[in-house]
Amino acid sequence: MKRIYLALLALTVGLVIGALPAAAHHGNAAYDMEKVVPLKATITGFEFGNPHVQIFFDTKDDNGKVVHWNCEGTNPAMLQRIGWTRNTLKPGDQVTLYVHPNKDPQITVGLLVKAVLANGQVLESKNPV
Amino acid sequence: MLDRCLRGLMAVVVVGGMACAAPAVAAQEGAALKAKPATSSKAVTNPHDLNGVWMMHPGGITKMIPEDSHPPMTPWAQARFDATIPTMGPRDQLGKENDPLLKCEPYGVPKILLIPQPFEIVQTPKRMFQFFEMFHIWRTIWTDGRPLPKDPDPTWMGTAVGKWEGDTFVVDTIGFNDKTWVEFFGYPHSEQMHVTERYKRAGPKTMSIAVTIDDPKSYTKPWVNPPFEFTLEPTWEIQEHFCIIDEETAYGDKIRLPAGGEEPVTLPEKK
Repeated sequence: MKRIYLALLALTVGLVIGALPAAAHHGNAAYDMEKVVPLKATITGFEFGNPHVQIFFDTKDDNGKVVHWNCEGTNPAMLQRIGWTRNTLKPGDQVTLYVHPNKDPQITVGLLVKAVLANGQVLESKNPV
Repeated sequence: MLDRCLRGLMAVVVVGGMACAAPAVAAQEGAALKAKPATSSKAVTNPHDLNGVWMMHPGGITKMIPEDSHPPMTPWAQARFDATIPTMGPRDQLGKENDPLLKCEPYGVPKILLIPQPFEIVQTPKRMFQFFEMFHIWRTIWTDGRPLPKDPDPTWMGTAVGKWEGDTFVVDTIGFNDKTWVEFFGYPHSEQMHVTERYKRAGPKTMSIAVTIDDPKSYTKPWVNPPFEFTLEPTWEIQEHFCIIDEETAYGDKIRLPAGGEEPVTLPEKK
């Protein structure tokens, strides 16, 4: 796991998103809101539901080992205003997910910032104001 | 009326705002009837038109920063406060939160106003409706001139009446149960809570709401907040967002609890 964390650190972008936290009413204390990491993801599940949209995916660490991740975004009502639908992701899709990683590097649960689909479409995950 | 004036005078002392300059309630109905639809007009805004879908400005959820603004708690309130574990703020305990929202309980007022999710105002001659996207909550604010009831049975959203004081729409709400939190950091209130909201159009696409909480059983003096800013979203429609306990539990098991390093309550279907 440490190697995964090191790999994530290497990928970390020093990006601070000045927008509302995506999972506002459940809090963001678990996540490092100062960091955003891009993850090459193979989608294994997508729940476009309440209270928060959930994405399940596999990604590879620096040794090529497959690691399973979960991440959450805001809710369908807000995301549909900025282009998301229940069909945006499906199992097997190859996408890049930008997430705020967990403060605990052992925990592969993150907070979605945006998704870049295979066709290049960029979908943010934040309240659009 | 005397009671209202006294409340209004208290608001002047505390908020430094407008008092009960006494526009008759009948005038409010006329104003509501004359209210024109909110438009993108650059120069002219009907100050008595609050209709439309409104969205809290970014960061609104933490605008009521208790450490900065709340008055001292009574021992009764302190004991309740000590038992709350919020989902955010300095007292958060990851994976152990007990915010009533985790049980799909209604937010109450003013907490529902702090959500970064829109709500719609619909003004009619004798009442204002507020439709909150979050949890599909709605609320009536009576503007037909009725007084606040003397001793209403407690409810989640309380009993509300509103009136115009100049260009400020003043809402008084009482009759709450004591199950909700005032805001997201776990501050409690009692059934004695009296919430005053002051709505004011700040511009063609903006509105502010200033909230004062008077709850002598919980706080030693009124809790006065600076105005929260909202933006009109003319292209938005309120969507369905119910809270379903099974969905809340599933989310907790798959995301919230593991994110906080806690074991899920039930075995998740996905690893």
